[in-house]
Amino acid sequence: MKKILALILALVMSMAVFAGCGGDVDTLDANEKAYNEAQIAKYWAFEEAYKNDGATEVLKVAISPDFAPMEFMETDKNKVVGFDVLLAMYIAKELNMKLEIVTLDFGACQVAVQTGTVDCSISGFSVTDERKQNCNLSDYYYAGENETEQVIIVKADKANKYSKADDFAGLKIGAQGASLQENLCKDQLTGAKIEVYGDINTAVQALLSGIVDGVAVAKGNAESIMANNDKVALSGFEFEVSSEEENNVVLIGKGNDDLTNKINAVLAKAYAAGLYGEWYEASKALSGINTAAEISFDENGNPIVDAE
Amino acid sequence: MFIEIIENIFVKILPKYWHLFVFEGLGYTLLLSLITVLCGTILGSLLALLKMSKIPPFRWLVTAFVEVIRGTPLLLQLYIGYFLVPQLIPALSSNKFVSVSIALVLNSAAYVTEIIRSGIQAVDKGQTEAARSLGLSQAQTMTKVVLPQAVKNILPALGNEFVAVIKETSLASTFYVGDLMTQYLVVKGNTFLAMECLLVVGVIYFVVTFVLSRAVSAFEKRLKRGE
Repeated sequence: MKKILALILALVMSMAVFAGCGGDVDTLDANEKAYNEAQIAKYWAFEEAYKNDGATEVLKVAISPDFAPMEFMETDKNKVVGFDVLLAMYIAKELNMKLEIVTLDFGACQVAVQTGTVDCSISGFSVTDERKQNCNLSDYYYAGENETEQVIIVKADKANKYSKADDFAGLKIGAQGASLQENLCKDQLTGAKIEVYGDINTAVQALLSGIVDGVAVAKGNAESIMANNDKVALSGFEFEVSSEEENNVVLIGKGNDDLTNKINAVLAKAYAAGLYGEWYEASKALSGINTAAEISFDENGNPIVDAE
Repeated sequence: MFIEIIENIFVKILPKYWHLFVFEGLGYTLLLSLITVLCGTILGSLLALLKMSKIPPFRWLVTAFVEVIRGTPLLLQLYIGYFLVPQLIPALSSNKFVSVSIALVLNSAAYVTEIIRSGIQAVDKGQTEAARSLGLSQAQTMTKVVLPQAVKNILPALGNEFVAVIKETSLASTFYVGDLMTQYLVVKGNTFLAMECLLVVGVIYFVVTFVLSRAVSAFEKRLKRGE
């Protein structure tokens, strides 16, 4: 018993030592840091602005928080955050309903919509035939280029080996089950063997462990993964994506046309107000991506905005 | 590879997220397990009584329940519980912790039923016969002779059931109820370091179940001392 105690004590002490030098090496300069912090502050401001807890009617939205920066858990406040969360809050506010977020895993989100356990699910869903058959789909919403481009990440030391679909012939490629990426792999990587995983992060672990040779993900998601892990990199290959598959939709219970129409009206409003881009940048910063990487600053530290 | 994993655990995972694992995760896991075993024991005791009753339909019903629960996977029961309970009892629709607990309790009750039934039936028949021939009524025989001996069989088995339930609650993470495996999903989603989080969670599970099962066997020894 004393030995076990001593062991535990040693572990705790070594933890304390490591905790002291914890945290990532800060490679960002002051301007970039300030820009990212401003984006994060913007996220919380959006969240505060869209709160509508006084409403009586409840809108239940299923979200699978394993897909940074679209949806993930912010661990300090223990909250689901991300682009889709802001969208859900915005929809609830516009419909004057109280938002209730139900966190489930990705597969369970779709079942929850079908069984009517929730009103809808906003979790980075693309359009697939199965979803068309089993749910009402909203109009498209567009999170930005990074969410529409679909790529394959591979181990960093092999990144330059792959540039076209044939390069993956005979290799194993991981993808999230029942996702757009799985369908794309089946259609476009005919020579490869597709390994299906419950969530992206497990697929990434399989990549690191050498079980699969690549993982198919949305580009925005790939950025989050690479920001946290320098062992993986983008391959030169990018999927061809039809315009229908480029965008995300809200899954709504089959036959609930009333809610579908209402949500479509709100989506149109958010699009017209140009909110999508702002939500996306703020969510990206919150998930730890350096959103200032492609921005240059003037001598006063103000970002130089390209006049596009 | 391994050195890097260890380094990641101590540099990237523990300093920032340890409270999630130790407080939230372990807290919810223990809370869920306690609710499951306590309610499961109460319900299981009732079912065990019904199973040993003289009225055949009761026996059949309980046997059917126990066989169905033991013959299907817990994950399937959790899904059914999660999607069915809110439809049967709309008031519970906003609390997934409750619907998941109900599924876990029903599952545990089936196993506890068998623990209690076998515990009682393991008491030698001669004990009942002797008590009855000494003039004790059937109720007296049960409460004064059989049950005190059966408890010695039942309690350690219940302790082991608790240890088993602690591990089984991990399946509830499919619904993000907040237990240890949920925290694994959460931290993994933030850091994309799956193996590191698995190891941390694994160590916590092991420490808790190891300590508990040691305690159960010490308790078992203590009970055996009277024999």
